Amino acid sequence: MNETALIQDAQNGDLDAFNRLVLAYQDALYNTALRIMGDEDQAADATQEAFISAFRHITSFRGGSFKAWLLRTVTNACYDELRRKQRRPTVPLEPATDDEEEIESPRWLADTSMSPEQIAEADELEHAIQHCLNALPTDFRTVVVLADIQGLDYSEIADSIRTPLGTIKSRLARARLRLRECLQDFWELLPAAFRLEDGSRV
Amino acid sequence: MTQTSFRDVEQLSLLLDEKLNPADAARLEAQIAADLELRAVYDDLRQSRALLRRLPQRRAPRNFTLKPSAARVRPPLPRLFPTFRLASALASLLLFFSLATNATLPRLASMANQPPLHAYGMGGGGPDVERAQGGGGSSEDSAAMDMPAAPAEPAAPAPEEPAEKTVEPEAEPTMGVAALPPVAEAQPYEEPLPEMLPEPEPMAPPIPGWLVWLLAILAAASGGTAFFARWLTDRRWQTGSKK
Repeated sequence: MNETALIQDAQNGDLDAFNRLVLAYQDALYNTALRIMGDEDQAADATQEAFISAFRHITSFRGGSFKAWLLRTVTNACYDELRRKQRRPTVPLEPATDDEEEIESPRWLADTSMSPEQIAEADELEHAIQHCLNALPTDFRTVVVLADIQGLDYSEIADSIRTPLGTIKSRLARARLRLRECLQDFWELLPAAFRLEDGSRV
Repeated sequence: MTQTSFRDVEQLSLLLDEKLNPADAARLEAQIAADLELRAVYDDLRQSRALLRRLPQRRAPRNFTLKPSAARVRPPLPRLFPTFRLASALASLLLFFSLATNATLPRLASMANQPPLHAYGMGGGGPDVERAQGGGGSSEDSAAMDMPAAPAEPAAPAPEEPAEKTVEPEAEPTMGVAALPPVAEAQPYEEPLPEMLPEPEPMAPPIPGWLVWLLAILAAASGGTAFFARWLTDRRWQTGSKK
């Protein structure tokens, strides 16, 4: 895939060329949205909005990392969605027990099509991390998602969310510090492989 | 063992991402080796980052490719669209000015041909008007001023008599009008009767009617052609994109 040629064609209004770029980056954008939003449906909506916005404003792309540019678009879409949520707060649908008491544990979010053992092994880590990510302020969460999940460089993150480099460093450190404190509560839930890694501390 | 500050955490985070210069990195690594708490924090940060990196990358639940309707993409404009649009705009503008000119210029011209409205002048009007308004400063006024005051007299009958008096040489001149030539030499003012005034001829519209019609037709035709071409292109493009 010649990305530069596709971008140029898309800038000339070629929707097919843009859709090839969509196919190349949709997983990255969806995962970023999912980690920032913490909800699959909202992440899908934000991803779709991001691609629509990206196509409409693709002429403003002046080179550099196209992935970083797209990630900025999806980050903005997530921020918009989060702001909408703040204006119209919703009550989460907690499952109820037989006594009609709400189950407060986040574990109910687990995929019930899997066995409990599988859930414990495959999903607990992800749920624990997502729980800790959700506890972060949005700005911190965005930086840590872009840096540690998407693997962007500091300068690319600064470019993506239009924030000074010094602020990126500071936010990333604070986010990792808070994640560390939060994840300590889930340490015993981590998979065995990771506990071994935990035991092999330098 | 020292209390780990946020500054330390920030430095540890930078060390983790290899963003420190070699000298600072070496100094910090030496501190980590010596300080157990700093080392524990560094390990926790490293593990937190490793955990995040281990998060499974989900596949997108569906394809997010865009359809033309979702992207609100419009086909390129027909080549002649800007020309027709400009022609329509210019013709409309000229039409507007033509109509405005035809509506205002004849009215202005007829106003200019009308006789001056002396009833509203400052002393420039005829004697009747001056008398009725009590202004003007003519000779009969001076004479009237010399007369004994007649307060609360109705103003209407009084002016009839002084008209005669002004021409009498026996009238005592006031000091202010002593040097004036005899009033008797003044010709009596003859106001033309309204029926004697020439009727102003209605002015023909400055922009001929055929030109106004031509501009109107041109504006409508060019605008209609532009939008029809646009609609046709849109339709052809939508039909093509559905295939």
